[in-house]
Amino acid sequence: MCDLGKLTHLHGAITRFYAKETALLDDGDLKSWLKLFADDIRYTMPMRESVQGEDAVDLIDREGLQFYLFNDDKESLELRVERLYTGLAPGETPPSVTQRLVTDILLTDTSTDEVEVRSSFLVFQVRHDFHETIFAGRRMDRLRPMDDDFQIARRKILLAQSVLPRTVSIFF
Amino acid sequence: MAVIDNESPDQGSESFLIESGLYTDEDVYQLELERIFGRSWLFVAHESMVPKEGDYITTFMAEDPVIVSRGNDGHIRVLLNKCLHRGNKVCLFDRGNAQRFRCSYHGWTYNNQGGLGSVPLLKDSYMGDLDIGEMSLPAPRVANYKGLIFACWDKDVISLEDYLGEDFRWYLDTFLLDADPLGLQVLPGRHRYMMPVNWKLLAENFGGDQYHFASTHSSVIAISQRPEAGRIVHSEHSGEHYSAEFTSEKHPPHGLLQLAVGEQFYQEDMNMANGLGAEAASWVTNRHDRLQERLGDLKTRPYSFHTANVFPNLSMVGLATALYGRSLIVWQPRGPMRTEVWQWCFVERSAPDSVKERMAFTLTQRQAAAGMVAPDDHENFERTSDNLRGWEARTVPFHYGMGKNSGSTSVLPELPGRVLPQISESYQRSFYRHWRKQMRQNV
Repeated sequence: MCDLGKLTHLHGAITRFYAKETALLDDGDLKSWLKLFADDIRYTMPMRESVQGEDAVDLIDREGLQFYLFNDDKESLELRVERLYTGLAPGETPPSVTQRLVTDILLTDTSTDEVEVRSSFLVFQVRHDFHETIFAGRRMDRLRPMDDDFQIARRKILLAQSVLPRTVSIFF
Repeated sequence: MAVIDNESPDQGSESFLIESGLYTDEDVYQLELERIFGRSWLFVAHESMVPKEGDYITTFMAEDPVIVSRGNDGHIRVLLNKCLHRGNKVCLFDRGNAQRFRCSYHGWTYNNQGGLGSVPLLKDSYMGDLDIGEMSLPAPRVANYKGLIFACWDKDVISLEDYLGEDFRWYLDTFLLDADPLGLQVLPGRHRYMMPVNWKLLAENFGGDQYHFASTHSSVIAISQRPEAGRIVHSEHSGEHYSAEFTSEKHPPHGLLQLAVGEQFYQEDMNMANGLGAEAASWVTNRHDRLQERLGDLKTRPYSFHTANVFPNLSMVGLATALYGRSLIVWQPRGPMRTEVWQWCFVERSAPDSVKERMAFTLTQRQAAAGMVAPDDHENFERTSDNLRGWEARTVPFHYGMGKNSGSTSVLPELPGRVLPQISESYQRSFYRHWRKQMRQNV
């Protein structure tokens, strides 16, 4: 297969992987969703700030000590999910209805075994019939080929919003 | 206005009932902007946010946008972010470093001390008719209490020290501001998020509502024994805990929660620090030694408090343990039924990196925009606000009666302020009593 053929095949496989992930989240199957992550996952979401001058950085790449929105590893993601499964969290009781769109899937680095992927997402969240919220943003993932599928080894999320429309009780 | 002119909540048999209109009425809200937010010391920044000359952040004093700017003279000023000409903003970033702030509409330009420095066509079109040397961005009074910068539009306001009060300042000093020899360090990435509720319900929650934790946050309690929770739990229900209230004719009421007394809490911090290594353990030990010095020969040995509210809208959280990020929260009012939450994470500057990272991690996982605590508060307040749209529902008052007959003596008289049982609604009653008094003052 030529390089273009390989890339097209890889792109298709990743597109299917994301569609499967999106379905798990929208179906509320968070325990299955967790299985998509590698044991060494780092899952982060920095807070957007507009900075003038030399401290200005590309926020999605900002590393180091900061007040993240998400700063998770496998263990803390598991704890978040376990909490929601207690059924005692008012913020997700009854669970939010969500409909996600994941699109603009770009393979940004295919030079190693692990694939760097940029995508755009839009999450439509409904609580209590008429509280409708949209979270929009982008994700930078590092996907690790695993058997015939992938694991997410790194996920960086950057919301478009600088003032969150509500507190966050869902995943991206 | 009925909700202001009604009897104080401390008078009469139904005194602990608060009218729903306090949380819904647009006229009340507009009057609050003038009489509460226009006349109180409002937190705007910590000095670590503007360490160098030219550094600034933009924030709000209630609905008023302001720039907190460390000018080239080294002084920190608060400037209304509104051009004197046509009212446009002059600074558009969240933070940065700048010599000047330029309005994009006609180009009026101010220096970082607020003075109007230049106006296009000053000679040719104003023809000497504008004395820019006399013009500067409106600036409230500013005061710095051990790094906490407050501002107030009322030039006759009492001093910030008196406003905080000696008793409350003892707790602020002992457990937050004097705790670290190098002081507090703000982290990048302050959170901003909307809550669909009146600001007062949030402020009084942090100052006086330990009661809600067991119900609202029962999911956090339910997972606290799981091994995955080891990094972020602390004793909220075991051990000796109190609340404290600081109410006086001389200053607005402030309140704090989860005042933890006894050695147990230090031992728990040590256990957690040992998991982070010898450097962390040594830091926690030294921190505890410094606390013992500050406590002097008090027989009662408090270790920490966890949350607090400074009237009107500055709250704190995360002080319970040495390994929890210190957080300041401002409840920025956005209409009678909306609040924009501003939340910062601070670490103690002398802490080793392992501790700083744990502090930020714990805050993020718990009481933060995407944490495991705040969304459940959000939900409750959203439902409350939804109900307040109903005409009949608005006639039903809120109930603040817990502990109304329990007397006014402190249960730990050796400590400053009025120390109360952990669960009480005394602070809320003081909060609304003072709120009503301040709302009635028409000059």
